[in-house]
Amino acid sequence: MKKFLFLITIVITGGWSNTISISATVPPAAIVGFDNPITENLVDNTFTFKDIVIDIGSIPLGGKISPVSKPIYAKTNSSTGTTIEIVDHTNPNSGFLSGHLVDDSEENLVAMKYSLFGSEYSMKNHPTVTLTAGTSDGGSSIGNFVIEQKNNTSSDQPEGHYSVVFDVIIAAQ
Amino acid sequence: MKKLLSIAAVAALFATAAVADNTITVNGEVLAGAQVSFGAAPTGTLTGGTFTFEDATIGFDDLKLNQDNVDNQAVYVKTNSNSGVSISLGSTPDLADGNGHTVPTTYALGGTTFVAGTAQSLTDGTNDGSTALADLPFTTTATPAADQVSGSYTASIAVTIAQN
Repeated sequence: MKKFLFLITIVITGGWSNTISISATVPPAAIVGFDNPITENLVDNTFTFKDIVIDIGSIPLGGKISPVSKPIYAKTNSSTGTTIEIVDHTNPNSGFLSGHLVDDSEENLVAMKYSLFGSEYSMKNHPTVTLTAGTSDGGSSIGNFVIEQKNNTSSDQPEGHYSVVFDVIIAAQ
Repeated sequence: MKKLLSIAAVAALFATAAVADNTITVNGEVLAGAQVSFGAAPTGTLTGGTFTFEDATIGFDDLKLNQDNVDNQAVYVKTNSNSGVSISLGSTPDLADGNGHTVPTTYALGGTTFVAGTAQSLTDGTNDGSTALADLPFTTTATPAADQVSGSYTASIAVTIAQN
């Protein structure tokens, strides 16, 4: 009997290799902006593009502006990287192609084109483009966003304030 | 425990898909410009921020004594100004011979006599400059006296074109 009880004890002890499992997730986040390094702290699950107003100045009659280049900074803890998508939601009903500057009357436009990382960016198709392939500290520029006029303005282009507003969508890959 | 971990995993997936919409605003300005001329359409191209009057010479034939001598000039305006442009004269001089003799002279736009330094509107919006402004001729009226001293009489006027 004693021998039997001893065997049972051994079996029970051997099956009690219980564990404590601890798991947690550090969520990805990103802050993206133009012109300056990103110094703000990341916020969990938040993918932010820092609003910017880009003034391209006077648009010459019968000519073009000099291209305006904006360095891009991205701070992210996303190990899979981040993406950017730029969408023209300003004039969906104007009948104009996306991305063009439109005056207050929405009757006149100045045709524009844009590029990201050296490749033309189609505002019409607004593709999702990889910003970073992994984490990035936001301390140095990762590329440029460039604004150019597509064609010379008309020599009698109506005067006025021309603008366009893009929504920027930053996401984890 | 397994169920708890599964919920956490799903939550993590949603976290990865989280996005935020922000904006890029691009602003530019097309400046207004204008060219105004007498007698024929402006010959140049507009320059933003520049309002030009193409120099003009108004030549009367011999002035008739003791009556109005009238010259009408068709006015052409090329402008991209949405609010239009105006013209003003720096002075409204009488014709003078340089020897102290003068011929009373008036200047008008579409029948409205100019007062020095007071602008009169030419257009209230854009205009391509290809045709003369209807009903807005620039009129010079010189009225010599019955015994006006003979000679060559001239006047020079500074013209200012501005945006309305």
